[in-house]
Amino acid sequence: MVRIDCCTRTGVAAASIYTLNIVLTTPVPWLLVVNLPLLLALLITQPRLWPVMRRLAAWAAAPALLLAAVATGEVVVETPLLLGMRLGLTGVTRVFLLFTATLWLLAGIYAQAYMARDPALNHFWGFYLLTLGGNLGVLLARDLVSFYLFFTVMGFAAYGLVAHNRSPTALQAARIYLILVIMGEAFLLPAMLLTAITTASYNLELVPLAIAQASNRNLIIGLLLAGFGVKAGALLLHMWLPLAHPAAPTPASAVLSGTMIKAGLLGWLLFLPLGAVALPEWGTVCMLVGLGATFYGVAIGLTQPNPKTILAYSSISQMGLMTVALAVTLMAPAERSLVLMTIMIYATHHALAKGALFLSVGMAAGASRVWHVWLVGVGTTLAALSMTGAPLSSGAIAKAFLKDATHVALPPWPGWLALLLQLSALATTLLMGRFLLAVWPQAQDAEKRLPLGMWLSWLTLLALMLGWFYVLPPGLLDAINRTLTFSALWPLVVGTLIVAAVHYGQRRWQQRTGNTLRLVIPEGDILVLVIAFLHALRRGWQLVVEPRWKAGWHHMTRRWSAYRQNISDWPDLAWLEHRLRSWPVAGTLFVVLVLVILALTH
Amino acid sequence: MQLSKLLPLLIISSSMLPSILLFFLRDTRARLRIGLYLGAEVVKLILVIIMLLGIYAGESYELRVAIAPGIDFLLRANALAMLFLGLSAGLWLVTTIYAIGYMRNLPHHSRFYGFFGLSVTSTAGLALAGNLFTFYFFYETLTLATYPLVVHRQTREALAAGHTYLRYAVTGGAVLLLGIVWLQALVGPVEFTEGGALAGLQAEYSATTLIAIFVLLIAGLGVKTALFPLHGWLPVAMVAPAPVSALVHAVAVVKAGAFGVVRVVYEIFGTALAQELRVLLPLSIVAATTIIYGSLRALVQDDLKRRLAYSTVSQLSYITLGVAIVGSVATIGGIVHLVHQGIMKITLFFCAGILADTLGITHVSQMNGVARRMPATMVAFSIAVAGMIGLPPFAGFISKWYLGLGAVEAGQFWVLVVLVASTLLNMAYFLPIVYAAWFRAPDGPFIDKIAPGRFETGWLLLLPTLTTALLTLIFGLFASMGFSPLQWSELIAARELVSLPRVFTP
Repeated sequence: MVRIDCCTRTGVAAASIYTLNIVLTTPVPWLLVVNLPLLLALLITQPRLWPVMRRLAAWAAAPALLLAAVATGEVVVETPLLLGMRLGLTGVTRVFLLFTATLWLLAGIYAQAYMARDPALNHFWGFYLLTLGGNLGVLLARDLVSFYLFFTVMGFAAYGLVAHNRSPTALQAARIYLILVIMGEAFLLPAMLLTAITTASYNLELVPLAIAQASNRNLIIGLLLAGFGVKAGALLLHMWLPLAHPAAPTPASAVLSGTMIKAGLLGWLLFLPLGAVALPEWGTVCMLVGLGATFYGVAIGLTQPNPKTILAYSSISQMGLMTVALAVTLMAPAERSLVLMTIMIYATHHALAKGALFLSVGMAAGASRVWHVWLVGVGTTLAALSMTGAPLSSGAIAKAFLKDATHVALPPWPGWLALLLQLSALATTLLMGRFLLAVWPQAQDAEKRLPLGMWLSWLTLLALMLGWFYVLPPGLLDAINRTLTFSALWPLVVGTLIVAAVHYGQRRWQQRTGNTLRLVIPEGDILVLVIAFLHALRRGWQLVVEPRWKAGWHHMTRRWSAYRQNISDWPDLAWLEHRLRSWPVAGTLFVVLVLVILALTH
Repeated sequence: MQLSKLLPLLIISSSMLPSILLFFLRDTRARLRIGLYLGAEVVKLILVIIMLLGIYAGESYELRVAIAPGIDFLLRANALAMLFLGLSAGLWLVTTIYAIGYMRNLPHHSRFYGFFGLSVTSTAGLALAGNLFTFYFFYETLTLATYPLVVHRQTREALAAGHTYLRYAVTGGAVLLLGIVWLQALVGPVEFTEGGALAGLQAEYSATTLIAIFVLLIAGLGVKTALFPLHGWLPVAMVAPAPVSALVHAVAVVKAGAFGVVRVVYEIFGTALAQELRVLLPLSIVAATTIIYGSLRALVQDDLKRRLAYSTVSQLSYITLGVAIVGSVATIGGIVHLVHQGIMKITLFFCAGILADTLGITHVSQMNGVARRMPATMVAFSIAVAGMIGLPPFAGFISKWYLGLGAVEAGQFWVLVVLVASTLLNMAYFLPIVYAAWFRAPDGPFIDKIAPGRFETGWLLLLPTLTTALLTLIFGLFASMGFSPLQWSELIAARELVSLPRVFTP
């Protein structure tokens, strides 16, 4: 018990901490944090409340940030919602909540200025708030059902952000996004059901151990990897990212890329049996997928002209590196805490840096005066440098941790990974160089404007990105001393030289021939192949299978074929339906079916 | 007479007597008719709530009248009966309010409300029926009372639909009767018993005979619950006025069949015997086929009500599927869907009725941008759609979740595949409607069929729609609280499956 002594300053502090802890054991603050955005989203549908709501909406993430700051230790509260909703924070989710709430808050303030003249502003804020509510819920949920609930809310609500400007490109991007969300659902639903039965509880803390001991754990793990992999932009499930991120308004892209894809990562961390059992096969799968994404993302990203698309591909690449860390702990369960620490640091770094880069795109487009151009240019370069892992940046610390983590992977990986990580730093440098060339603010246009809100949030985010790691405990902060090594430095230098050389070469070529020398791969890369394949499949069906199938039916039912009227729909069930409508057919068929099934099952 | 005997009788007569009275009322006496009708509904709802609390406290209500030796007219309430009775009484009230708003342009009011009330009376009788004979009696009166509602418009199309409906329903009834008579001849009078009336008797009779009886009973009931390929009448019968379609699809006709399946499996045969006869796997295969087939058909319908009708075919079989999977969790999922499917589908039909009545929109292809004109209606529609797909936190999610858990618990992983496929198909035929309504621009100005008022449509149409949409949310979000359908279904499962220990208790 804390003795409450109101006369001294320490007494007041102790009393307020005491009160705070009592308040945090009730569901009220937790439900408030999650439901505030959802409530605002509901209220913004009322035209009378628009002026107030537009001001409030940007701040909807503030209570979450406050909660993350004050809720120390593991807290869980129970509410009677849904199937027994439990909300709370653990060490890992608290870190995720800190960077998620920060980025949403800053993106909200940015959006207030950036979107001010948007004709469909209320739509934007409505979907923004819904997505925010889902994202916060994912982090606070401590039971499986509410986790699934918030994950679904977030996934579907983000559709509205991607589709926001209603242009054909945006609608197509949103459509692809939705298809992949639905695909993810198709993996997640059985994964959740199997997990629930395996765990015999909805308590998330019990899930990893239960899966580790399950007889069908490979099925569950496979479904979980694929289901969350869609959100995390894992290789081959990444097609939505390069379409959706450029299509969404800039502040929305920042949160999509900075925080929302991390929800998929968090799903892996919460459900997979990390630390409980060694899964070398799955570890190898994740390692290959992660490394593949790391380099593939850069390779495709280099061909992109749109700066936001380049950033989307960079996200795929960076998520690949976090997948590598995940692979390590699947291989070496004993090092779970080291790897978790690595992923937390990496995710925080990436969220802030990628958020800053996305906001920079909006800043660069709006810069109109010379000093604007220079300030924005320098800030953007700093963010890009952090992303490449330049010495003394948060990226360098994140990479130092990643390097440590890879030492414990199963052989032969450690030897290879040391080299591959340096190569990936080189690749990222190339991509960031390409990004800076694509985004660099140039034209001076009086029409352009950069409101105060955009400046404020962008500069704050930059400052956080540059300095956040000083809150790390001294033991961890030591890593900063290791960032001034040759292995951290050479990729940056060589990468910069290559970018400069290629850029120079391109300009010379253009001057000499008048043509630009550039390879452009459509956004979504393999999506084009997938769509082509599906078209071919459909064409094949229409040309080969369907006529024969129909001819077969005709042949069998020649006497009735005259009755056929509707041949337009596929598969041709209308006709079947028509036949079924005559009673003797339906009745006999039912009896025959039942007899056949009975015979088969006995 | 004691209350325990009186209450079932009062509940039946509270809707039957006013309905009969209405036939003697001229169409012009609107105020008297509505007053009488709504009064009866409130009285009935109160009686049902009294009975519900009584059953929860463990009391029993039974009314038995001997008709012939071995044939009793038996009304008896138990937890399962109350679920259906509560649904029927509750939805009767909201549908009537909707009908008052909807029917102003249609003739023959007294006839409509009279038969409407008789249909609801029949469902109350079905809920309370204590043996197969009583069940059969109300099953047939339901057919007869709904026919005039289906053909209410008396157009050529409506009459043809009514004809199809009668052919199906009467034949189905005959098959059901055959099964009942055979069973009665074999074992004597059979009363619905929690745990199964035939449990323990199987040694005395040949398995083949019992299987044959089971097939006859399910086939007879399968017509009303629209099992593939006996579902042909349902999409045709949607020519009926919107309140009728809503009631038919949510509680009256189709639920009578589904409820019968539940009674037959749990209270006639009992899960133990049904498992021993190995009839449950075939039943689940038929249900799964219906789920997929209905969705595939829904996919290609442009007529909104037809699309909804095929969706009903598909969704109803969730109930049968839940019944056919052995285990308490799947049972809960199937039984709770009796209520959840009801409120979700009634919302969708209410919305379809509003669109047709206010703007003359009957096809999906006409719905571009309609949410700008009717936001509240489309919010209700979207909520019901999310529920139908099974998205959390709406009611349909609870059903699907428990069905899925039950399937995993029983080791029937193929059911998971069916559930996922059904979810995807539901998205494929529902989400384009939502997309068109909210995200597409309207093709042209909407033509108002009724004078614009304070709300986007008549408040009598809007209020019931929003109420059931809200219930869709509440039944999902507060599923673990108090008297939610889920909690009640858990009570039922605990009472029906005494022999089966509950494995999964999160």
